Amino acid sequence: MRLWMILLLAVGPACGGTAQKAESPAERPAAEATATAYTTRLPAADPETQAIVLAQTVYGATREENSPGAIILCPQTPALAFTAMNRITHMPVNAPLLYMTPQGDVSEATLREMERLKPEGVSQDGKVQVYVIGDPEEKTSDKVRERLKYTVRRFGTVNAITLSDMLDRWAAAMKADHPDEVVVSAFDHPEGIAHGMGAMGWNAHMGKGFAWVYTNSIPEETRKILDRRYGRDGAYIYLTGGAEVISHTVAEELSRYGLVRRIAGPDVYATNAVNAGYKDFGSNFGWWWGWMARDFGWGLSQAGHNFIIASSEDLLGAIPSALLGHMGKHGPILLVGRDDVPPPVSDYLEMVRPFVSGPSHTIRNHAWIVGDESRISWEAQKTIHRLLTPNGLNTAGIAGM
Amino acid sequence: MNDKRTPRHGFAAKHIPLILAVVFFLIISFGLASVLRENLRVAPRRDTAENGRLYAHMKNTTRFSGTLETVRSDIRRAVLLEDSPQPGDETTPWQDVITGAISVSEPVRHVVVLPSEGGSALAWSLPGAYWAIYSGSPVVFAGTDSLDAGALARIREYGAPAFVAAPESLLSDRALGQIRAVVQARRVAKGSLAAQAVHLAEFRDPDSGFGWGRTHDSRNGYFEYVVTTPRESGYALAAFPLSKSNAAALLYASDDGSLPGVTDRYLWKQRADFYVTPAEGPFRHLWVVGNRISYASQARMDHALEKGPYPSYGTTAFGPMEGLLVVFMAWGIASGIFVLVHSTRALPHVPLGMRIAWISTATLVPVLGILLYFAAYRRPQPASSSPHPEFIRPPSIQSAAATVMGFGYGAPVMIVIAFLFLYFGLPLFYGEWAEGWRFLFGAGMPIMMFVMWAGAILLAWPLAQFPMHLALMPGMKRRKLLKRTFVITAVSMTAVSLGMMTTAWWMQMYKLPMMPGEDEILFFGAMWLASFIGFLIAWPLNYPLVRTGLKMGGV
Repeated sequence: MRLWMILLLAVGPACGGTAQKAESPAERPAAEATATAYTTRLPAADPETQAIVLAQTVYGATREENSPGAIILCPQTPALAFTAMNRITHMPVNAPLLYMTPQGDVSEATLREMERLKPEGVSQDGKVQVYVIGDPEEKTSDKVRERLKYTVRRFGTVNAITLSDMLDRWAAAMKADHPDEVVVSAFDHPEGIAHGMGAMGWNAHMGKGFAWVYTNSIPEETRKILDRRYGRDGAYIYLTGGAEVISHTVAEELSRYGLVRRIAGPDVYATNAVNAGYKDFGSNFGWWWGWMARDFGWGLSQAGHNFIIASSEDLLGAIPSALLGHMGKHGPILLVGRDDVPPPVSDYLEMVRPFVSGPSHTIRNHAWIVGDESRISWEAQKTIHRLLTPNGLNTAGIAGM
Repeated sequence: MNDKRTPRHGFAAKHIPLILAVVFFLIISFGLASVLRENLRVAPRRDTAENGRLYAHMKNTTRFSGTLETVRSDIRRAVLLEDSPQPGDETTPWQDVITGAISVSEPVRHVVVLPSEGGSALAWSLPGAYWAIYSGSPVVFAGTDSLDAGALARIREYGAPAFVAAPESLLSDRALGQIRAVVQARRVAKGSLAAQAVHLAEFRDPDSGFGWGRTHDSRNGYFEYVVTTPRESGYALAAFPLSKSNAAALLYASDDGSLPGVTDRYLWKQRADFYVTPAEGPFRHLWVVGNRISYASQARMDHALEKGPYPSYGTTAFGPMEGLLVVFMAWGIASGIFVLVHSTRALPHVPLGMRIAWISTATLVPVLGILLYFAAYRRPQPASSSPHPEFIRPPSIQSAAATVMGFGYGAPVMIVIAFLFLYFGLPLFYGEWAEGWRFLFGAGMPIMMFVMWAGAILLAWPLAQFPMHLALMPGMKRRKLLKRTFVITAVSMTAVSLGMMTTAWWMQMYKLPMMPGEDEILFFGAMWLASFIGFLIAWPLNYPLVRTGLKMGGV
């Protein structure tokens, strides 16, 4: 294998060359994001800019292979963005989420970023380049078509529950399959989305199903979604949040459609820390000579991983950050406060803290800090940095500088 | 009447399959050329890719740029050493900066000897210095032709093997001899700065513990690297703390901002592979420092380090399964060329349509196709009353020849249809009606498979099978021949599809991480392999067709 790589790579630069122009410092972005040895901040003061920064971090866009397949363009409505990120981002679509303006238009900055990204188009969906969410009057979709000449598919509803059903049918047609694992979050609970943030990250990474419930009842659309599952137990349903978020009554009712599990902690910080370590695997279905297991959750319980640190107060900024779990170092979303790293998160990071090893076997953790210092402070970033610092690191050589 | 029809039929039999074959050849060649072009171009979108960027960080690369003082400050902030003593200022000799950064670990297992004279000595010293700072190895500086008495005394005192990280032009064999007179010494050097940095990143001496040992085979390490250009050595000095905090080795880009081949190749070999999910680790990371490395180079490095699934190593990279499939395809192309040349020279009397079918079969069924071809044309029928040459064949080879007549056109048609679907995008429908099993009617993949099957029949039947059989059986009524060739083509293509679709599905579900695009070698490789299996499935199923006289196996 190595020989093949060497042969091809020897030809590559010889044919294509890697000569690119050098730039003067003045041509570079003026302000750099704040990075520490184990954390990188991706700062932005508003959701629209945040989404752009995230897309720029993930997609160099110098060639087709480091550009996205499509772009999700979504209103600044948390429930819509959350639903879209749950179902669209993953392969084969490979799409970052960008926001419309609060008025539902698309800004020049976002248009410029969409132009920079040059999405390839999703082969499995007629080479669609932009998925527009909402936009009932189709003005934004038309603007994108007109300005960028991109192929657009519009999911025109502004109802997130209807959207979840629509996307379930769309995704099934694209993949010729309904994933049996379904994340379920609470639509009417004020912290329903925050509890589901980590599981949404898993979906953006693995492309599983998603549906909404109310704290005390189940919408008809969700019943239809769950009815479409044909696993050994029907669906495998993962409720995000405890009984105060999704009631026991709903959990019991959902068990008519399959196996119900909870990813829950006493608060949103704990729920997402639990999600980072959560793993459910076991039987799904088999056909004598073949079998397919159910497999849900990051299950990270040891060192050597990446984490996406987002603010519990900034849902619109946190939702598109699931993109960082879809590409690059991957990893789950953890929520923190502005100035503090809550104990469930710090305890978890302490548990998975790396340690010093040999130069050929180093092990490392890394974290993305999503948002500027008005969302997550420098102090909180330093705390996270320290929680990620390998145990046993002798900094004497550094201090001697 | 026959006299008037025969020339026209001869023309159709000769030219329509040929035109069809040429069209297939052009489309498949276009696809393979796209694969090559996509993989060899470095940054075709470089002119627009940087427009409007707010920050220079990427998912696998962190960038520190600006003035040297800014970068020094950023790095110190990065390792959270705001309160530690300031490093030497611009007037501090770089040799002192390096030695001042090292906290020597006891016991000393090796000594790093670095050059100190000449304009490029700093740049040559840095890769070794990064290792020394990380590992706590003592450093001794040497002149071009000799070491001073103090340096030799220190080496003697350490009593550990010495590694000379400098080329002969900066540290001569004479100076090396002085070291060897005191301790065991070894030169670890390559011909260029970029190669030297890569060499030190890969080198490991297990006895003395010298070197990072980060080869392609070190699969599970979370390796990090500082990347700069030789002319920005001061930035590499400023980034020293990362060698300790992040175990970062140093790599060099070129002064013009591009990536030298040796660095580019090394980074691609450093792409980590995953077996279950990309969340499993490891990951690799670069710290790009300075202002000279271009955005396109940074983006390429970032892309090179993106994790990929074990079979393919992801887009652009070249994984083991791709390697196997390329070998398979190369055998196929060689087999096809062989049959083309041989049949043109040795079997000009065999109908052209049949020869084309053998050529495409040999291409898609490497090696086996050649063996069957020779088995089929070994023994000509000595006294045949047929208007075309016939050959004596055992039943199994007759079946193979009959399979070739359909497969030789049907399989390329299916590959071309799949290519065009992916090129233009699969259709997709998902209305309210898409409940239960009905959703499959709107799913792109089943639609594509159906069109591949139907298209193979509807194209190969009138454009290849019918004219070919018309030439071989000029006396048969046209309507009867149409019906007969349709049945033959449908049965044959269904048999081929059975093998092809099943293999393509199996590859997709169990061997490939996701459906490959039409500009990926995996697409062609998977279709090639699926065609091979399709032939193996169709071959025995053609046996009863030959035995019942529905298909001809002697042509």
